[in-house]
Amino acid sequence: MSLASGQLDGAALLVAIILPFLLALAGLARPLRRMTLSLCSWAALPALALGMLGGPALTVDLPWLFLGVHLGLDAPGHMFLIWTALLWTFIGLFARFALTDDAGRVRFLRFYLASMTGSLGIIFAQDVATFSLFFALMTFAAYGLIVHEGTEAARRAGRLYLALAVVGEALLLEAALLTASRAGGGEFYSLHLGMATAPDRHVIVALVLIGVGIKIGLVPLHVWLPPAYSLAPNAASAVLSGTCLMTGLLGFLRLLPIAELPASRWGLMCAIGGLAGIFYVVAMGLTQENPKTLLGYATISQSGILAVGLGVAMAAPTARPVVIASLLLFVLLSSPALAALYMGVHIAAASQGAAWSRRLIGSGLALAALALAGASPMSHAIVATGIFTQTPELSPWADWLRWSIQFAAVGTTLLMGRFLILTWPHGRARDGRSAPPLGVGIWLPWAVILILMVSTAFLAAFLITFDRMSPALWPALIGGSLWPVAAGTLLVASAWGVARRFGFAAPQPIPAGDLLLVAEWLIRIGQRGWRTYVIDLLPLRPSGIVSRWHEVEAGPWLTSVLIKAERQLGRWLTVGFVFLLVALCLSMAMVFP
Amino acid sequence: MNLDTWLPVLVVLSSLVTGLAIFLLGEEQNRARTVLNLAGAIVKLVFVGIMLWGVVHGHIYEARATVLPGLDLVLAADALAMLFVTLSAVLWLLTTIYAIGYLEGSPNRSRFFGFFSLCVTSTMGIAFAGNLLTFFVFYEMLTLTTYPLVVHRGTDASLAAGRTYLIYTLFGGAILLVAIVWLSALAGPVEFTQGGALTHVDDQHRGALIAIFALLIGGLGVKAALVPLHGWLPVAMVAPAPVSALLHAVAVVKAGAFGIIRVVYDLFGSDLCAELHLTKPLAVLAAVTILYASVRALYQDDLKRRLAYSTVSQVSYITLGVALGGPLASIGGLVHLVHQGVMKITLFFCAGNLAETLGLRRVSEMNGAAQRMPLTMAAFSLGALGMIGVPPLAGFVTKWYLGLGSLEVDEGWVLPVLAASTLLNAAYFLPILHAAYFKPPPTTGAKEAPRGRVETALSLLIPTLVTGVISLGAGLFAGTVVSPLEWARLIAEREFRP
Repeated sequence: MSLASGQLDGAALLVAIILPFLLALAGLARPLRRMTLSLCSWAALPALALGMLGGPALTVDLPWLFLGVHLGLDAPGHMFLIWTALLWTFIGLFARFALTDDAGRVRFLRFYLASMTGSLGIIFAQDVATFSLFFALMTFAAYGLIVHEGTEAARRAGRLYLALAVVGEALLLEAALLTASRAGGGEFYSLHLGMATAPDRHVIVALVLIGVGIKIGLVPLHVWLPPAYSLAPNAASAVLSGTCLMTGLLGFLRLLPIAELPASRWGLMCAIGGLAGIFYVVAMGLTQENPKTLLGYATISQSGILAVGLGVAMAAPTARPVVIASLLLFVLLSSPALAALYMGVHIAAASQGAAWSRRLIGSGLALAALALAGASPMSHAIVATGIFTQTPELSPWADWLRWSIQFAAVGTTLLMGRFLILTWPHGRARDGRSAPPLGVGIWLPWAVILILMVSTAFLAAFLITFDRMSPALWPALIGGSLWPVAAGTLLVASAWGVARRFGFAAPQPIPAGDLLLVAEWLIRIGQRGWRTYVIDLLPLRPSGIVSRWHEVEAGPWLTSVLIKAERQLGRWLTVGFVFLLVALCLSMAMVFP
Repeated sequence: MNLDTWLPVLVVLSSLVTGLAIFLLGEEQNRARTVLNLAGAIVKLVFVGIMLWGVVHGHIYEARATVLPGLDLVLAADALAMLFVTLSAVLWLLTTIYAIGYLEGSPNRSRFFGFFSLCVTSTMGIAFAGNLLTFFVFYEMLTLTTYPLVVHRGTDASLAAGRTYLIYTLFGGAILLVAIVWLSALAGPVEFTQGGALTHVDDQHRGALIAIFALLIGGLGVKAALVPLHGWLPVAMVAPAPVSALLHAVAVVKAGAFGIIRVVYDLFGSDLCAELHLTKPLAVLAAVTILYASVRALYQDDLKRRLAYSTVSQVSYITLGVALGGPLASIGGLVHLVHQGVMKITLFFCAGNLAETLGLRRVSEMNGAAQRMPLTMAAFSLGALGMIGVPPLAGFVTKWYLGLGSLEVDEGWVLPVLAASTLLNAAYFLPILHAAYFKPPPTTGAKEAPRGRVETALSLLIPTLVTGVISLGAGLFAGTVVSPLEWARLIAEREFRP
């Protein structure tokens, strides 16, 4: 009985993961294309069902597959799975209708489905190799989503993305190899213990930080993200930004033994770097005029908060449970908010209907913007007030973390304010383009994701907190999570008022990918230096060595001899039969000694 | 005289007889030639299958012929030999099918297929060689039988390539011969033995042993295309596509790499190699080759030339794994013998398909190729992504074991080399994939051959797809008992048995 149910679990797990990928493959065959198209948005449903119904001890070992695949679902995995599956389902629906006129729609959906398998598989993966497998699938499939438009700019963005992503993959592979080797096995539970005592764990931490950091766009590894997300179709940006925080947090939790790692200097660096990054990208983002680029910067600022939390957790072992819990809440709240914002850009541009419908859409946008700005202080405040008061020995980190996150949230609020000003649906077509029709297939998924976002907030606030905390703490909680948003809103409102009254020259937008300009400049200088000071001064060019070698081997004397020999050899009859004779003699001698 | 003695000889003979019979056929007897070719390849596969079963179950296959007292020719099958033999036998069948389609209607086909079979005969002999003398005989046979294949087209370029090829390989062979004679003088007749055959050599000959090792590696390194002895390989890519496939994946390059494995494991033994400090320089040489050739590959616009440099780089993974020593690294190196073969033959088949069907020979012409030949490009993608080392393809399994193995023996410097190689491979393969999938095809296309219902002739397409699927399967099902990985584990287990 138990064996049968175990096999059933295994089959269900496998189906949930690879169904989208199989659909993507089926989409390659012309007769199955229509079916793929209609099923694509429902491909995540088995995963969703598993997330809702699956038991806590769901594990499957498939030693014959790849390097031994271990799949399972732990407590954070359950939450991530439900949220991820919902996002993929409804953004998939949105994508199907938003791309109706697009000739490359089927290709887009194929890459969408392949990324979906990657994204779901990461949640289930319980060993390093399997994790790398799904991580790589997501990385490469996302490329197809980013370059979908096919313009030169999109291709450039895609190239940049891929270059950095491949670097990230290589670094993560090194980290995986190091951990697996030190721990004597690739499964996460044994790995964490082994790694916590490994002598080169600092290298591993650095590799993981950079490898995952590229994926989620930690400053200064973020340069690919704003151009890529601004040039990808809205559905792609929505799903990539909506899942990237979850993937990032999961990557950190799985690959870094945060619970076992001794306090390290990496923590402080990571936290300060993350915080500096947030303020930097807020400044960059405020200059943007393209709302999608701005949202790219907002995504990066959320990744920064992840880094701050992670840093604190690494530096202060006592604060770990608290911080990780707050990061989980934060990610579950910001992910749907980011997705809703990207979808909202499309919807706001398309809304040319009645004033009430535009106002409704505007409120939806504002709600998502508010959620994104408030996600970090709120989730932190909930957990912090809940647990710190019960554990009197407050770590010195708690205050620092609280304040930094709250100030960062002020920055995010400013970004969101600017975003709302840029996208507010006035009913005029942007860029003179004719707006796509706003069908139910487009606004309904958006509404569902907004509902998911709001219910996450309520779930966090009421079920987790107010249920368990004494009412005396409520004011601190509400104040802590609300003041940054309120302060930010006030700032935006007054700036907007001033600008309206007195006129305002918007700053020149900084090109998406900001630091990229510096990098390109440095590379140009480096190339010039390399040519002037290295290549030109070498006695022999690299190619020179090769050509000299060829001169030697084709010298005139040698050549004439060889040409003669070659003609002789070219007579295959001679060679063939000489060879035949020798070979036959040899084999006969061997058989009849 | 029982079947166990006969089997290795039969495997060798199955392609020898085929080759000789084909020489006797007339140029226009196509049907008979095809039947002979396929029959030979299939019969060989059956024999190889029987031997695989036998080797797992501890059968000993050995055939011996004394040429002079103390000078034996030995054909013997151990697990390592079977790895190489199986790879060659399977890929020979596929390449034969491919070549039949590729050369349809072109002149001199009897000559081509005759030498093609002889070439495989030599490869089988190399795999089964039980001592250095036998190895050398077949190794030189390989040189001579591949030459007519390289110059098959008879153009100036191919004759020049053949000339370069001969100079390099005969030179390498001469060095090898010197080393073999020296070793025989020093140690008497030695046979390949698991764990090393030179343990009886006196300590005072250490210097000589080191010199012999260097000579052996120098001689073998020509065919294994170790930098700086690799110059012939990129030039030889003017040969027809099936020949390139054979050169790069099965016969010549592999013979060199296989020889290095034999020398390190079964002649010197990994213990003696480590004791004489021979492995570290070899590993460094392999690492240099991996990086240097990858950089060179970046600058090639000719597709087959780029693939050729990629071979130089990838074959050195085998040497690297073997030189690092330790069970895990050895598994990585040994399994790459198969993985590289399968992936690279896929890529060369694809290059041939593109050239024959669409007239595409350069990377810069590949825009939109995936729309015109989707199945070929799908196979190409599997090969290319595998070379980069994207999981779950075969190349990732290799890298995984090489990485773990390097840490096992405390050679952490290998990890950055692997990472750099991954990046370089990505840098020269991904632009091809991007152009093929995402750029629009040119409106005024190059001359296209007429096509039927599928994108190209079935005899070209089917082998390509089969090898593409194998390079996926070898990685995806690496944990099953029939995977190359499992076989490499078996070899390493027997080699490193305590």
